[in-house]
Amino acid sequence: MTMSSPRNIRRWAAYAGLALIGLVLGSGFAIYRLQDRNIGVAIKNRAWSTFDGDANKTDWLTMGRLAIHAILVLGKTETIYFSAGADDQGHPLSSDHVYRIHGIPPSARYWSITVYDLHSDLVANESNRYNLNGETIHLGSDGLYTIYLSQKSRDENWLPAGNVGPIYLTFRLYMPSEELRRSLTTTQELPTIEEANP
Amino acid sequence: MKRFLPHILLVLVGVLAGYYLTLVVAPYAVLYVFEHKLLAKVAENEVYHATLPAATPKTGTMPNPDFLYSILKYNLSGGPIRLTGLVPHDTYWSFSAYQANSSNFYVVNDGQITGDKFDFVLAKSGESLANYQLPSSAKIIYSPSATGVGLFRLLASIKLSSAQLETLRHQTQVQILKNGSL
Repeated sequence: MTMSSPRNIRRWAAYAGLALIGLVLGSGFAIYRLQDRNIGVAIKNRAWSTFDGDANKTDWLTMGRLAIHAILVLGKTETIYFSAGADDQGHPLSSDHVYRIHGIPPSARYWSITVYDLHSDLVANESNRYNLNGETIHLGSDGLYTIYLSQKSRDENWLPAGNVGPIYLTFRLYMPSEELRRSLTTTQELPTIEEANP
Repeated sequence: MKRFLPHILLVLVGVLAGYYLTLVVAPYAVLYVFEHKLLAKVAENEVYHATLPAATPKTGTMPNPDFLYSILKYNLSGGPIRLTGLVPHDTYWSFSAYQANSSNFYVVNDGQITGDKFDFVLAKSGESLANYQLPSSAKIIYSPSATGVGLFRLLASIKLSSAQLETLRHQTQVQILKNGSL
């Protein structure tokens, strides 16, 4: 029997078909895993999480997730990006609720809190305000800040939540202090997120 | 059961190959789409100055609404390029470079640059620059891939007017270096 006999051709076609099925299944599973916004080994600090490791020296899955969900990010020495998709009680953030975000200004050169929808786009609102940062935020006499994340405007430190349903927050820390970088899981410099009365 | 063992193994090998191939290709694919879709109108080796990010157009890139981004789609296949411009010291500024698989291989910020000017030469990794007359002040940055993206981040600080910020970033120039000359 030669390689080109009908029986062999059928056998090799079956092998190729099985390998192709495997490739498609494996690729589909990878695509499914890449959709997860939890990038890499998570560092958790109350409602906030970031990924552990340098954006450039990490595994393929983390690199893929970074590219998809946070393209062109920087390493931890330059910037730390914390995300929160839920409040401190674990309830998913939604634009039709009101939240009180309270904290101490972090030890970083520049910091901000920004609202995004689940597609990583800024949330449309009439004020065209998408975040508050260390320059624009008003501090209380105790040196702390309180932000209200809501659809309805507030007099001070209002962060519009838009009208998009599920939302998430990103807390950016540019040029964070070394002390902050070393204490990501325990630092008190990340704000609390609590649901407030409308 | 033994009869089907080779078939099962073949599927498993296919699954593993498909899984890892997709993971390896994904970052390249994402940057390729970013360059060819979102930056479709941006010419190679020219700096594009974007306006402050807003809710529209939707880019799905988690932009920072405080940053004036200036983007360079670089292609070093025709030789190294030289980037020059101004560095502010009263607001955050940085330049970062990303290779074809979207990983960041270089970043420098205003606090790390002495003086108010930057002078970078971006070259392919392993390329000899012996035939180029480079200014001694230039910082040589080697890119692991011939193509990639350079990104300038300029914080739109309330300490500076829009006109000051725009004037500053529009000083950035790109020059393709030819053998033996600047």
